[in-house]
Amino acid sequence: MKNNIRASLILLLATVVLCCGLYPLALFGVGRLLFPSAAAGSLIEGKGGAGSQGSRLIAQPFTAPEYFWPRPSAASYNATASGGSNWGANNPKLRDRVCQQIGPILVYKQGSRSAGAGPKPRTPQQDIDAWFAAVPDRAAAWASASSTGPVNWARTDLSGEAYGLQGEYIRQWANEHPEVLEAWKKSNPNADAPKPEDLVTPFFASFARVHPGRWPGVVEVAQTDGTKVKRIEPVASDPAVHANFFDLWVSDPANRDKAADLEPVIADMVTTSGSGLDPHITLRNALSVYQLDRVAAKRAPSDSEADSTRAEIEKLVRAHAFTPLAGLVGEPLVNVLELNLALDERFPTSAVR
Amino acid sequence: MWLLPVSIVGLTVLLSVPVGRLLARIMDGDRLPAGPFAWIERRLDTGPQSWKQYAAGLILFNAVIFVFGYLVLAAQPAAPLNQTDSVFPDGKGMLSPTTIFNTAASFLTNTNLQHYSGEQHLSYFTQLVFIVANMFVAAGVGFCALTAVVRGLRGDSHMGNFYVDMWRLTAYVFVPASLVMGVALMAAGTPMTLEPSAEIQTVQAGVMGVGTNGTPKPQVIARGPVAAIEPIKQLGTNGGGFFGANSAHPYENPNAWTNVLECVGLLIFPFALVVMFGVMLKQPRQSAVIYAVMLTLLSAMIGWTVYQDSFVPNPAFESQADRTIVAGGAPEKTIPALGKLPIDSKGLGNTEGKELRFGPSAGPTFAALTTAISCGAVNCMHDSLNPLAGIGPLIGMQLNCVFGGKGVGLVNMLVYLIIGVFLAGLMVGRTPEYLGKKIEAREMKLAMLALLVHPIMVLGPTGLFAAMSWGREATNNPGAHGFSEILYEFSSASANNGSGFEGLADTFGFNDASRNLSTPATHAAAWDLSTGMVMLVSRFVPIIAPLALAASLARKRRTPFTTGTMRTDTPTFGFVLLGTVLLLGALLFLPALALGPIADHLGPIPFGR
Repeated sequence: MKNNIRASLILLLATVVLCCGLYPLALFGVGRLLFPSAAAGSLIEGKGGAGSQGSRLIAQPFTAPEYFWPRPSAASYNATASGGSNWGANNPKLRDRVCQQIGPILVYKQGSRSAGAGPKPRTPQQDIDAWFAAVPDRAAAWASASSTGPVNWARTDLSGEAYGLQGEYIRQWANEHPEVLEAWKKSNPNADAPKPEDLVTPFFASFARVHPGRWPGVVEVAQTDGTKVKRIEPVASDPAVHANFFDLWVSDPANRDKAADLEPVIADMVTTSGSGLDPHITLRNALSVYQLDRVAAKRAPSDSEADSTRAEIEKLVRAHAFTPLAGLVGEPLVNVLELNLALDERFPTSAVR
Repeated sequence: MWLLPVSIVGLTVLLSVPVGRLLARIMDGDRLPAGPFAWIERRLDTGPQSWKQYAAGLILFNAVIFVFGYLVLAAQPAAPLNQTDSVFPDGKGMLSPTTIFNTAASFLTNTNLQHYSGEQHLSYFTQLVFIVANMFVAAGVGFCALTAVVRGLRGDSHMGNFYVDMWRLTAYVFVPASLVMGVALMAAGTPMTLEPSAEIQTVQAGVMGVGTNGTPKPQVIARGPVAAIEPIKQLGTNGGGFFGANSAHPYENPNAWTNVLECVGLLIFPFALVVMFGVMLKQPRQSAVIYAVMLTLLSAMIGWTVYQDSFVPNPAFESQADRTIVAGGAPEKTIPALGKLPIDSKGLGNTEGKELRFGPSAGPTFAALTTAISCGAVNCMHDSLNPLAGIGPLIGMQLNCVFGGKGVGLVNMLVYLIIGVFLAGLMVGRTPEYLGKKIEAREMKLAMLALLVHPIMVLGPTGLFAAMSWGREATNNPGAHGFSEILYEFSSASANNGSGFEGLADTFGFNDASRNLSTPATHAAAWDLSTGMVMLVSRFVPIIAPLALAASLARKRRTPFTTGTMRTDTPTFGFVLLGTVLLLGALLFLPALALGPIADHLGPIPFGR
């Protein structure tokens, strides 16, 4: 037994010295000597010692229209908390997240019947607005049928215990319209005081009765002293309508032809990656109307140069494309951060319109 | 789509023959170099061991490592190399005690189930000392057990010496191989630094949010000595990532080339072990049959998973017919039809939870490999695999003998083989024997013990947790997919795999809850303790029972080879073995799969909208 304990301890000591000491030290030395940039995290140094602008390997968020956008991130691009959404196909949150993202930006295929002829094509958003207004209580039906969207709406800008505009509006509405609380009490006889998100279904039912075919949208109103405040008013068109009602609109058999005319979104644009830090998008995504057209419109110095700018940016994107495993697997990809840095160099942001 | 898996498996098959021969030489101590390693080996040699002494040595050393690991983890706040950044200005604190138990058990047993997130909860010291030491040791233990079983089967008078075996593996196999792989990874972009997280100013200012004083927040990028951990994580089929996202993280797996390297890295030793088995026995045909059966099963798993995930778009984006749900006791519910979303998945498959840079079929390929081989590293989020694709990783862990973990997988296959010999022998009325040794009641008892501990440890706790709030309130997805998360967690723990349907809420984090970035999971302690115990039981019973079985065979007289002998080195026996694995596996696990991924696939999708 003593022999065995001695051998175990020697083995532990030898393993720790070799594996936790010598082995990492050797790698550390090789990294320092041969791959100093990679060993430090492949950081891109800014000009004039302004510090790093990011890591070549880590996705950086871009939300401004003049930039190409990376894939959505379940980790909010937080490179100290990597991870995916872990949502299965059967999770309503997954389909809802995608619909919320694409509803406000979708376009019809160029030249399709739904887009119509003429210089300004008709947009799916106009059709969603018209469809929404055609039946007075669509908002009520949506609030009672969906499990995630309405609650998310009520919790917009929620931080800690303080609700945003939407949550406060529900509270205020419930105070002014007693039927909201009554309806809630009827279905929850034993519960305590409701939170705004608990009241969404009766709220939207009541709102649709008062403002048929309207949506509680956020509008900016100028005050008498010149400042602007945001508040909620019944509106006919709102990005939230396009985001929240896209799924119902596309599922309505009456809109089948219009849905068939939608310009498809490349899958990587609407799906989160495994790490939440995937630095790439597909070339197809970058060149689609949902990216290239938006960036080009913003970066063109004037309307007359719109086409030439678009062509030049397309050339720039293609120059940045590569196919994994020396072209053996998959399709061409581009690194979003590197592409946007090159874009800023070629078309300085000062010229962005 | 198919080029990637075919080349990964093909390359490994080619490499496995020379590597297997080399392993046999090293384990038999043939022509090992003199030097400091040999000097240490002489200090360790306690002489030839019987199976009981060998098993005792194995258990004792594991107990020492467990205590060592527990202390290193618990001492994290006091240890050096505790990096600080703006997210964790005070460095990393102490993990909750149940998580320490779980993690110490998990890394000891080669499981690497992680109820914490590497970049958030561990200091560089913990990563370098706790994680690395455990990874090297755990990789060796199953390997040693297999070597001892082989010595028993070939009729050696003793089982060798455990301490010497462990040291030879570490010094001559794992450290050199890890050094080579580490350098290759660094060349591709894997960091190797002790600097704290990098803080960078984003190109579009303010996009990470704005601080209280109005200045834009930086993007904080966690890094560290990743290149030291990554190679042994793969080569040792450990699978515990430096980062929460594991091999999906761009620092752990920077490009498609490193992805191939990591796949070959996790496959090479389990493949080569089968070759080593034949070489050490001097009966290469015996191992060829086993190799062929394993390769057949593995190919089927890869084929299924890749087909279901890369050739089929995510069902969440597809049109769904309307359906009426009739459930006893509940009012009939009609779910209206859903339209197809305008999403183009052509050539990409299901991209939710996948990285683009590895290529489209890389996620499901890695998923099938990492679970069949019992590694547990992931390069995509298994929770987001298509419902039917999720069967691939689940079956891989549940059979746990398709190459399997270091040594343990082959030992499991030998258990199936003994059972196959017994069944076939009974059916044709011949004395069941393997390698000339009669299989009798004692051997069958030991084989059944080794075989049954796994399904009991998977299905028992799964049923318990699915019925209790511990399970129901921890799932991240509704309906059958939530059940799959629970089933996956216990399959993974019992197979010593370590991957997860990661949505499951099982992370508590630091013991001082105020230091956690996310709220601690309510039932984290229940998950920590249950999976910790499952991992320990399912690790050591299936190692020790076959050791006893091999020793019992070793003691028997070899029966002469006659025309009446049932041969175990022919294709016919290969089919018998394949059938045994499939039939037993199906009988044990198919009902649970029907409740999980199959019900998930049948819908409704989305569930409970």
